[in-house]
Amino acid sequence: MTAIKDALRFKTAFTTAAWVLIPVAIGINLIGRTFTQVLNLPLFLDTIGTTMAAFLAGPWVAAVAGVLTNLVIGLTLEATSIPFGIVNAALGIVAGYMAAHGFLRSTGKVIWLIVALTVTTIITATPIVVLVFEGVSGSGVDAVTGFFVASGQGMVESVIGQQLLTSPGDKVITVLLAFALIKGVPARYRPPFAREVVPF
Amino acid sequence: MEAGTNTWSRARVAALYEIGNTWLHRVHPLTKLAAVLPLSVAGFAGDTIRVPAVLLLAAVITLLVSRLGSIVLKSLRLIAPMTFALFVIHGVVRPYPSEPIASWGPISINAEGLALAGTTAARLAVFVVAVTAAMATVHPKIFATALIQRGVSHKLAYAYLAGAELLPEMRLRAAQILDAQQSRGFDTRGSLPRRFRTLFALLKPLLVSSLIGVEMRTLALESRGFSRVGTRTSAAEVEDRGRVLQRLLLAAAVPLIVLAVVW
Repeated sequence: MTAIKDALRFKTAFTTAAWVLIPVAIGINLIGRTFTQVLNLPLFLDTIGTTMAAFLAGPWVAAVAGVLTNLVIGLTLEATSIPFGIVNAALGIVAGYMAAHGFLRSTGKVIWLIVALTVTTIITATPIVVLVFEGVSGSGVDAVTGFFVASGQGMVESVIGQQLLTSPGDKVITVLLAFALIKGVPARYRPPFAREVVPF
Repeated sequence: MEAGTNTWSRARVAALYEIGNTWLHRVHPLTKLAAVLPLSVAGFAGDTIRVPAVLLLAAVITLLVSRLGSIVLKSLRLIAPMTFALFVIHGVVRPYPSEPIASWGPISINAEGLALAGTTAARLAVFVVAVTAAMATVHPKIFATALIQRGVSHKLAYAYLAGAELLPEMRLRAAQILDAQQSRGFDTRGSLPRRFRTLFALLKPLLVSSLIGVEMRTLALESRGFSRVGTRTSAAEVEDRGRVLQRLLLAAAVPLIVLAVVW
């Protein structure tokens, strides 16, 4: 339980291994998105790294990994991803806290984790998409938003509708992939937090 | 090494950085970053296209005159899909109470929607051009060093820099894994379940090897005194200047934020 307590406290969460994990999580977030584009999958998978960081090192490390992912990608590749750092950080905090409180221990609890991540995405991303980007993201999901707009819905309702349709699937695959991939890592390489929260 | 020199290699940094020695390369990295905030917020002040359009035009002309046209092109490439989506959703798809300016069957174009799409696209373009111009003219290592000089934790700067350096490396490894798996017969164009299986097969070796590498990197960092408290020296040197200008730029953003919120 000490590892969980340490990971939940901001002061003790950032060990050297946690700082090393953050750039890896940033890279994984980018790779998830790259592979979905290559495979033409209707997903984003751009928070796999953050989710993995949450399961491996807790909420604060995942939150920093989330913010830095969007900052690094925003400052080195695509400026428009910067505002979504808030979404990525919020997902890291929710995933990390829920993992610490045993939400990876049974299928029923994992479903609640996925629901919480979907709700977090909608609550944090909708204001950014509506206020900063006037409802668009420049990706294929704009077609879904366009459908709701054409049917006479307001912009907020349209963006929420689009996220309700696209986000749950993305979060299911993200959580399952993160979980399965952590299980693929030999036990001695798993951080102490992961040994306590991920059942093996 | 001085900020703005052209001796840094591009090989280990993400795609945005442009090697060069223009006046923009010589501006202190944090001055450029501080300028992004008032410029971007100014685009949101006012509810017409005028302010963001003037800012965008000024930025594009400045970059072209400075022989930094590649930054304009990069920004346009990034903003193009969003601009298209904005014009389709707001100009064509979104219903308005006012009369459309043109109609072809079920498609009608509305002036109100076009104005909103144009204003939003111009605002986003100002932000994208400002960030791209600021960051394409500074090597991430110089940027991280400048941040540490101003009191940002060296650990946070490490995470940023390592992330920026890891992106091209992981992209390369991803491409190698993709090639290797395709040569073993993996199908990237099959049915949806098949593509999901392919995704897992692609991600697993990359992610597991990355996580296993964490322990090695941790030991390497510890042996170099990563956790040591106190000041440290850096191989990259950045002249500490422009503090007053940076504060003025940040202060200028405050009334602009108020204006943007009020409007």
